[in-house]
Amino acid sequence: MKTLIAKTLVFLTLTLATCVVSMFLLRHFTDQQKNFQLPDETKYLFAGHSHVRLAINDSLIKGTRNVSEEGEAYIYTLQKLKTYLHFNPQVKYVFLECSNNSVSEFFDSRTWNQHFIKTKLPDYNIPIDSEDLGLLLSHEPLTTIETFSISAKAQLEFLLSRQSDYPSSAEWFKHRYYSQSDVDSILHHSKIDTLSQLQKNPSEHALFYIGKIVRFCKEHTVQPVLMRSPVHPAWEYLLNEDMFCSEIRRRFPEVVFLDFGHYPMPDDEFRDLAHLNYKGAIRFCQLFDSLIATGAVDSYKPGEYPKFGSGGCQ
Amino acid sequence: MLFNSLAYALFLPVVFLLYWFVTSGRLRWQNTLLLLASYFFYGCWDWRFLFLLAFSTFLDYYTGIKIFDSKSIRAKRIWLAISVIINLGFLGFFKYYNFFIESFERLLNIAGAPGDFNTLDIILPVGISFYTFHGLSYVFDIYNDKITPRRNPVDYALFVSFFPLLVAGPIERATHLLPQVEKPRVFSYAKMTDGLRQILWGLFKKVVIADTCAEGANPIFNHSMELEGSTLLLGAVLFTVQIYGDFSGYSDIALGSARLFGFELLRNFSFPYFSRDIAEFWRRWHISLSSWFRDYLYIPLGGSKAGTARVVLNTFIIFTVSGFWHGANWTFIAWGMLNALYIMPLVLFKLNRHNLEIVAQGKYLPSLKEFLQMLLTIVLVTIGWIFFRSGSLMSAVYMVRDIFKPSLFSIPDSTLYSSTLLFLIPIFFIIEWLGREGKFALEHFSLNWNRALRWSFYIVLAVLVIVFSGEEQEFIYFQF
Repeated sequence: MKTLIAKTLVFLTLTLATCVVSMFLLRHFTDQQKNFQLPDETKYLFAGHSHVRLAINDSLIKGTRNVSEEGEAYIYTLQKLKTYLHFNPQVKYVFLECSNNSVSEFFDSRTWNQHFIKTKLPDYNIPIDSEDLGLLLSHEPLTTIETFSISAKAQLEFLLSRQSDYPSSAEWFKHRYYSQSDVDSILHHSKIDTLSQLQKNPSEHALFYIGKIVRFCKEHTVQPVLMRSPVHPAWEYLLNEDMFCSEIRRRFPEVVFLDFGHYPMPDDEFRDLAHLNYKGAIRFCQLFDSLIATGAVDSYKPGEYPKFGSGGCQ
Repeated sequence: MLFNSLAYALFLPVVFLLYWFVTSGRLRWQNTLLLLASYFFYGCWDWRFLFLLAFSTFLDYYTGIKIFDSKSIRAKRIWLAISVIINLGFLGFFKYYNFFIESFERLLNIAGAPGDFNTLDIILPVGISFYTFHGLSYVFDIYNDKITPRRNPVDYALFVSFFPLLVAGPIERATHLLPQVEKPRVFSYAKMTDGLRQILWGLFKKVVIADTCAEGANPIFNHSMELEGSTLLLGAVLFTVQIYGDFSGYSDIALGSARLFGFELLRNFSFPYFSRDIAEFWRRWHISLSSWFRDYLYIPLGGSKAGTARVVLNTFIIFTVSGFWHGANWTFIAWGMLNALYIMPLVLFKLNRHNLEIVAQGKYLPSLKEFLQMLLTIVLVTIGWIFFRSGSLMSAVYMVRDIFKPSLFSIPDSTLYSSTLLFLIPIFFIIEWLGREGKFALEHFSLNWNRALRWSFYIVLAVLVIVFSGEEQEFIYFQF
């Protein structure tokens, strides 16, 4: 019996050691071969969650790439930007979506979302720092540990298949196309006029990671710009507007904030109360394109809150 | 708690250590511990179904005693009928109620008398098909005077719910397992290492082979109407490998786990994809279920000793019921009947008892004839799996038809499968082939290598299991 236990323990130790070495080697070889290079003319990145994903069709704005994804919490946006900025020194600006929902405590559930943990970390092959890892481990220990295996498998497949891109998930970066508008129906049937406490409270995690992204961009001589895409005036999260504006102003006084949250758009250009549809995205992209083309974006001073439409954080 | 989960990786050693160290080798304590562990294991899925398991156990325990104690044949039959009706009643309700209602509704529609019946939102208790069959085999064997009923409820409950076999078999026989439950178990180093090797190989089959194949097979079967013939064929081949890796992997882990506690469970697989005809395949695939149906259905119906018409009917009955046992869907029935058709010529011409020995025994390679026979068998089996895996009968028929489109000769869509499979599947089958004379591939394979090489091989397998284990996937047979 003792021999069996001793040999099993030796076997497990050797297996774990081999596993660690294998994972290290897989990451190393993948790092040497992975490629997140964007075209040289790409100077502007859009990052964040569904609002900017639907609002920005990067094929309509020269020199931009929209790398946002639905429901993405800032901790994953940070990992994504680490990769993109490493591969693309030509990028000069990162537009980071900050909206009333994404800085609320309600959005924290996206941080511990198992799907995101399992997909985001492996996708970018980033050696996540101990602070971020500790946060995920404290909330989702098993899923976070599983992510090491998922990463190693993805790397093994990448190395064996000799793909040119890592990962093969370019699908994300295609503009999400929604042609219809459900605003009328929502306003008539399911308009919400109160918020839960979670929706009212600021998210310390979200605001911490926005700060971390801002610092990371600056360290890489990239200008971080916070932005809020247009939302419908009846969007329920605007009920936490005071909290939203005061947190942004208090925490990021040195960052430009492009606030399109109250930019006037007709109902039929919204998909729902929080997102633009295809038609709205075209109009919004024309506006954004002119801001870039005329050099307006370059002219804003840190801490400036240019006004687009009436209301918003001033 | 899945066999391929971290939870099971913690559960198994804890129970193992308690079993061998804390119980001091006392049989009653060991059995009680295993029973509690088994109920805990089952409760991890859904504790509410523990009551169903306990009731099913009590039912067969009690009716078993009543059958034995009854003086008249009539009374014995009544107690047997009570057990069979209640057991199959539960199985029928949980597994087949909605199927029968929907099929009846469709039949009425066809007959021009549309009816509207409510289906129920029923959760299928995991393992119900397996532990129901355990219990039934026990009462049948008592009725047939093969065994005497057990008076110790713990021993009997452990026979029904022993955790390695509880959720997906092997379907044990009272004559085989109960004596082991009642006999003191002795620690054997060779048995333990054998068990650990079998668990390792089972995990490799499930986590590395089956789950990776599933990543390719699932999207292909889900979008079968839109894909090229070659990609559909690839999907069918991937599922053929997946279901073998999945179910035989499960069985290996179950048998290996049981061996750690001194039990020898019935063998469930014997390298079925190296079969030279379909009869041999069915002697090697899900052996515990095939033999259950043979002993408790086919032989009582007259088996192959009756007239030709009766043999044909019996063969169709046993394969159709076996298909239906797998699930409440016409696809499973079609799969069963298709296999009945495959085997029929062999039964009628009395060729079904050929090929009893292991293929190419003592040789590295099969003869050309054996190779062609194996190829034909695997082609037939693969066509059968299309019916087994498809969501509906029509999509299975269309898939088989679409495989033979001219696009069969195009290159399959490489984005639908993992490139690691190009290496893993050949290596897997080479090891299976080389180890086919053992009870499982690693029983003898690599044992004569020097220790460093042998350990390196096991470590590589274990590392692959860890690397491929990120996304826990359920075993296919848990749904049955």
